[in-house]
Amino acid sequence: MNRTNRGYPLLFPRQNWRHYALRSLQFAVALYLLAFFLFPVGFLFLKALQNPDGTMGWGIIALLFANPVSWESLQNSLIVATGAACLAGSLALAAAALFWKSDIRPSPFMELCGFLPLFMPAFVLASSLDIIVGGHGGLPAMLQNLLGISRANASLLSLTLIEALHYFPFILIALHLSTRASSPQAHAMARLGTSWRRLIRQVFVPLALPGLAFAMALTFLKVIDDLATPLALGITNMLAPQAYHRIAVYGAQDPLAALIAAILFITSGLAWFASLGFIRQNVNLFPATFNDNKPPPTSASMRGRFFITFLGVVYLGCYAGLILSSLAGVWSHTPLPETYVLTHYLKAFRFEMSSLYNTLIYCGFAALIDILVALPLAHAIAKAPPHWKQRLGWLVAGTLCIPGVTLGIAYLALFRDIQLPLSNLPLDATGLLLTLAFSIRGLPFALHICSLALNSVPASYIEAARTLGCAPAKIVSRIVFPMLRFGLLLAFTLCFSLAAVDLSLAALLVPNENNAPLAYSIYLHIQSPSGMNVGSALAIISFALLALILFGIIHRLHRRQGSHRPLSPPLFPTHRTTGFAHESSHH
Amino acid sequence: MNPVTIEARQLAFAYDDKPVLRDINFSIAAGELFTILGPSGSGKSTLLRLLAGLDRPSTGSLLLNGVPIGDTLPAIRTVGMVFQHFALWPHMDVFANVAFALDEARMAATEIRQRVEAILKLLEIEHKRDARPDQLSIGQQQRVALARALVIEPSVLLLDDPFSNLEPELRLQMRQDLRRLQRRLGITTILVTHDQDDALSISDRVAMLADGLIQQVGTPAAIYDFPATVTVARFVGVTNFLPGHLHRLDEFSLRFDSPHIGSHAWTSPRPVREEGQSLLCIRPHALKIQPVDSFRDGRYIWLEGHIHSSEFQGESLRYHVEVGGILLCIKQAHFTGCPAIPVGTPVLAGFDPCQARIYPHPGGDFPAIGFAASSIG
Amino acid sequence: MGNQSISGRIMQAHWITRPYSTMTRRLLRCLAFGIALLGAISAHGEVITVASSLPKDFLAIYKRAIEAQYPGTRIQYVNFPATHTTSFLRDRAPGNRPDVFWGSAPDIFLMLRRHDLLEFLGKADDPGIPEYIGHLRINDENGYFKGQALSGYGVMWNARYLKARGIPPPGNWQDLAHAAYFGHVVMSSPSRSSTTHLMIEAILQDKGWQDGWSLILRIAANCGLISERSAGVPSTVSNGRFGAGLVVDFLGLSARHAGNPVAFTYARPTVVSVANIALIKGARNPSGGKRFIDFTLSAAGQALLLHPEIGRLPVRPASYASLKDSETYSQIDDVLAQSIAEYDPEVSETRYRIVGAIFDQLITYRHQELVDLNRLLLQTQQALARHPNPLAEVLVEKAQALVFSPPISEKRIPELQKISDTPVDIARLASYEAEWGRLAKTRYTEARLLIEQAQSRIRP
Repeated sequence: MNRTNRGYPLLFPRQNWRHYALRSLQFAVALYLLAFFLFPVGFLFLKALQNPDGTMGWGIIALLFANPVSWESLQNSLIVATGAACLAGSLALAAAALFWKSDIRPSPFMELCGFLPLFMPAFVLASSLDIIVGGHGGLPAMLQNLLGISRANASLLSLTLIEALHYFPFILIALHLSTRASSPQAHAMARLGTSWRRLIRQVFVPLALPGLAFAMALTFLKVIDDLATPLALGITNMLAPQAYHRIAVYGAQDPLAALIAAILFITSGLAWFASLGFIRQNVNLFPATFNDNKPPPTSASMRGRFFITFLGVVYLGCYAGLILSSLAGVWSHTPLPETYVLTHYLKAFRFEMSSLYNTLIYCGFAALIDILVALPLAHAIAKAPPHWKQRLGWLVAGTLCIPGVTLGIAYLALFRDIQLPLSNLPLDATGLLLTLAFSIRGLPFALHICSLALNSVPASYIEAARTLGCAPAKIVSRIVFPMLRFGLLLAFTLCFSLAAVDLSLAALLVPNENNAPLAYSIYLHIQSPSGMNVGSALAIISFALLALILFGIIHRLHRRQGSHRPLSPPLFPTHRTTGFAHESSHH
Repeated sequence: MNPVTIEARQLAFAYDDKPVLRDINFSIAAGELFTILGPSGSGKSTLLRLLAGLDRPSTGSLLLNGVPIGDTLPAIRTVGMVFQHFALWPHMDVFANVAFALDEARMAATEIRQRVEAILKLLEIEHKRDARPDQLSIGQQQRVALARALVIEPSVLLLDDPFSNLEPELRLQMRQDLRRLQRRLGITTILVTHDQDDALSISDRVAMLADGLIQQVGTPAAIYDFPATVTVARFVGVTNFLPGHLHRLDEFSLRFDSPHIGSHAWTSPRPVREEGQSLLCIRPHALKIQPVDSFRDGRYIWLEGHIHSSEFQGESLRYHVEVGGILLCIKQAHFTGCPAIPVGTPVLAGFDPCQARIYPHPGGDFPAIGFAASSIG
Repeated sequence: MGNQSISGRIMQAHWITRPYSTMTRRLLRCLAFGIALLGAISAHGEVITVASSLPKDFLAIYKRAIEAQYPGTRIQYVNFPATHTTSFLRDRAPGNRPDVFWGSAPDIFLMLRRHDLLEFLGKADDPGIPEYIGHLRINDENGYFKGQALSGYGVMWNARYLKARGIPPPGNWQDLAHAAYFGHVVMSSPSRSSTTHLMIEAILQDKGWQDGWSLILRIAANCGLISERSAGVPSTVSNGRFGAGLVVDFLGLSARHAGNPVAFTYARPTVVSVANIALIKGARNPSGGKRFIDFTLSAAGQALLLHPEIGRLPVRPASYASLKDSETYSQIDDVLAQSIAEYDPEVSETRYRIVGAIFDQLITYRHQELVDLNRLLLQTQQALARHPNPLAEVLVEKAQALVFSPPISEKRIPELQKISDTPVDIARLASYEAEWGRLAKTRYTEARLLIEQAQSRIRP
């Protein structure tokens, strides 16, 4: 076994080869980001700053804001997005304080349910509420009669309420997760005589602030980008619907739509950077199931169980319209349907499975691209010198901030007239653009999880394999990849689900209705006369699918816990010293 | 398999232009258990990584049986390495972890099984064959890591602080087990540790590494009794340091003037070469305590002081005696039923000057009070 | 080390490396997934792509029928409002466009022809389809598109809804402008629904520019919602959110067929238009497109129109014979008797964008204010009925005249005609839009002031 006496092949030429492989991979990633993010966005800005005669200037901006509708749209977008974020944020803060004070620990499933708003478009809630509140004019009319305000204000208010209601669980869970750990200590301090008021002000609020800022910023970004909900409520004077209208009527070359899209991007970016100040410290958004080795205590307090049940009932009530509508035969102008049938589900299964298949294809490939891009990118960011790290950080923040409407319009403007080389198809007729756009939108999330996963592979695991004579490719396939597997699976699921609900992008980029992903199919159906019920059935089916995915994740976690394999070291390192990098081993 | 010799010649390593190791020279005999002892940040892990082939030396050469290996792949060196936290792959069971290297070498399945089972049996963990690493105790994990390193029948075994995670009792047992195993296999072994007890108890020879330089190489007793430098004296064992001025009277006699203990002259067993600002080092167990009015042995140097504090340590008592404005640490054997001397009692503290070591200390800026440097834990 | 043969080692070594082999399987599965996607993208078999604004259910029935008749053929629909068609097609290079365009509104076809986006189909040669039905010409006289079905326009209402509120069912467009309908009407926007555009155009051509807009604005002021898509109108009427809506006949009829308590009437003056089908110039699969067109015009394709879920009027008179419950189905002659004769698609086509833009700037984007204003107006009128006040009446009339009138006179339309899709033209239209947007805002503010003045006069 003593091989030391043979000739010694040199160590480093092979490392050079690997170095080039890595570089070319990083180059491909850079190319992808350039071609599908930076270049389209740059093109959009260029178009927005071009006068109609082709010279550069402020002509389009002047033209856009000459119309009072544009000003109103900007105002309304800001009001609704800020209002929804603030309303949901303050409600969630109060509820999370209650959770904290009563030491309420929701079950893992409940915690994951808190993330559902990210995986369901808000317009589903809007249409469900519309069915329940019914009457005529829906929620806005009801609010108008109730509060005696103008119709425009009532519409904005109802949109704000719906968005706030939709994103409230997400903010609540974000707050709960970032404060949960300190609840027992707070109880101990309260028993020692510290007042709860003081504890909440001096312990809870500072702890909750990063999570709150993050979740509120995300809510803002999602709301300002929301296209379907305002349209479902008949609100047109907001930025996203205005851009959509213009694109629909004048096509992709409309410079005003480009300008509106650019304004949306800038607004989102500003909101994100405003919140960055609060998010400096790490936000822990992983449910207890991912962090703890032991299952959380099941003995929730009476009060806690009551509160969670109350929330559950409220949301079930909100979605009751959808459930009823999916089962309704004839339902017109009566409080409840006259007849109940299951044919809508059958119809959904028989004719709409193509949209499910489309979703699998688009979102699956988008998630795959995300992982392929995010892994080298995470590696590059971990290894990059500080100034590059910062630049890449800005880039990632950019992909997080970019609204779907902006990206969609940028793609339409840039990629029209581009042919696929082999199949003689225009690029925008294939759904490839949709896949790419989905992948750009999912990238920041994939990147976050991938860098966590990479951090969870200590350098010594790789070195151990190297000392045992394992080749680099084998190290990747037998050590690194199996250890990353769960993280990658999680990243894939997250990106997939985020893409599946990205209605704004889908509405702009879907090549034809046969190729529509699920969320867009639901949207189209709910808006059509005979398809309302089928659309509701589809929405219920997708809820069921989401629940299935959640159960799957929890089941997998339980199995891991059953085998006493702690998740936290591989996926969520508590301290980052055991990084992928080698630095730690040098002192 | 014949044990191999290892030699380092003017080895140096810099990380980002920051020198980590400088001018490292040593040679390890075949079958020796060689320990590299040093505080954290001294570069001892880096030295081990150079030996394993995980890093490449900036200059100098490493020789295995006289053949340079500085540029070779880790795989060629046939070194077995046990990592600090064992680095057992969590997604493989014990058998797969151990069999990994053999499998990589495309060995026949039956032979793999035989060899893995043999090594698991040798390390007495064959019953944990199908367990996953996280289902093992730390001791068992260490055995698996050892098995993984040994299964390739390496010519050198490298151990990176293998006892750092263990509880004291287990630690004691594990290092004896390791020593026995190493003797039995006769494998050249390099152990890296920051713990002097590990280093002193089982090593054939110890190299003391500090600030990227090898301070001293020697047997454990030589390192303990005759530290080559103040750094070694401070790191290995507990030592009292007394600053003062050394005067050479003739070849074998000297005078030591201390602001704390006054001026004393004695005959040194070794020739006296230096003069000037120095530090006098005395181990706590070389000092003894007597009542003030008792007989003073003429071979000893006696200092008058009083008990400042005392610690009961089971087999011994540790006193801090205040002498001339400094505290001396003194270790006395404990006898059943004997109470500790009360605090404040005036006592005589004496030491045999032959037991003291004097190091030149030109700076003279050593802390003014007697300094009991214990190793970092 | 051992000295067995290499292959033997590989074969035998696999049992140790369980994770590795499952990973290989997973990789293979990923690969299969990838191939499946590539397959989906580079579509196999013959694909006929049909751009259409017609409802999904409707298209699905044709898809199933034609795919059954021609095995190996796949029908793909590109579905969006017909108003987007021109921009959609112009954004694509020739050779990559859909094959067929199929839609309700004839003016879109004229616009496509003007942009040179239609392929010459040849003169009609099918003896089963007459050249004229009533006074309507079925096929394009130049041979660029063919009539496929007839559709009339009118009002559908929810009988239960109206009965609960004691509102009489509407008979014609003017009824919808009546105070009783305030908040109970729903319509779509002409810039997003070609059928709505057709109705608006019919009103404008029948009543004239000034009076036409006045009526449209009054109806819009009674609307509870300007629906995003034309399909939103029948759906909200069917489920009882609103009482009445402006729809194309087949949407109303299919909603009734689904069992909803709704009724439909061809509002007078109605316009009956021919839903056309045409071959797109630069199609990917022209022969397939031709086959699709032939199928829709064949006896089998025409019979499908009578399907209760579709509910349209075939252009092939023989098809009506197969109708089972002919009483509930609208008869083609009745419909034609009510229609206005002098509807001119050419006029409609020249001001297509303008009508849409005016509607959006005055109504869609200002709808909330318009509704609030109308509520105030109706309240004031009720108060006036109780306490007559001539001065206040004058003020109210002034406000009405201000609100319910077009933003530009008919004379100025020619300067805006033939807006194309070039950035310069879009910018030109945008500046007009901005002007109308400002005008709408000032008008509604002024009108509100006038009405408030009137109110202050009425109140003692």
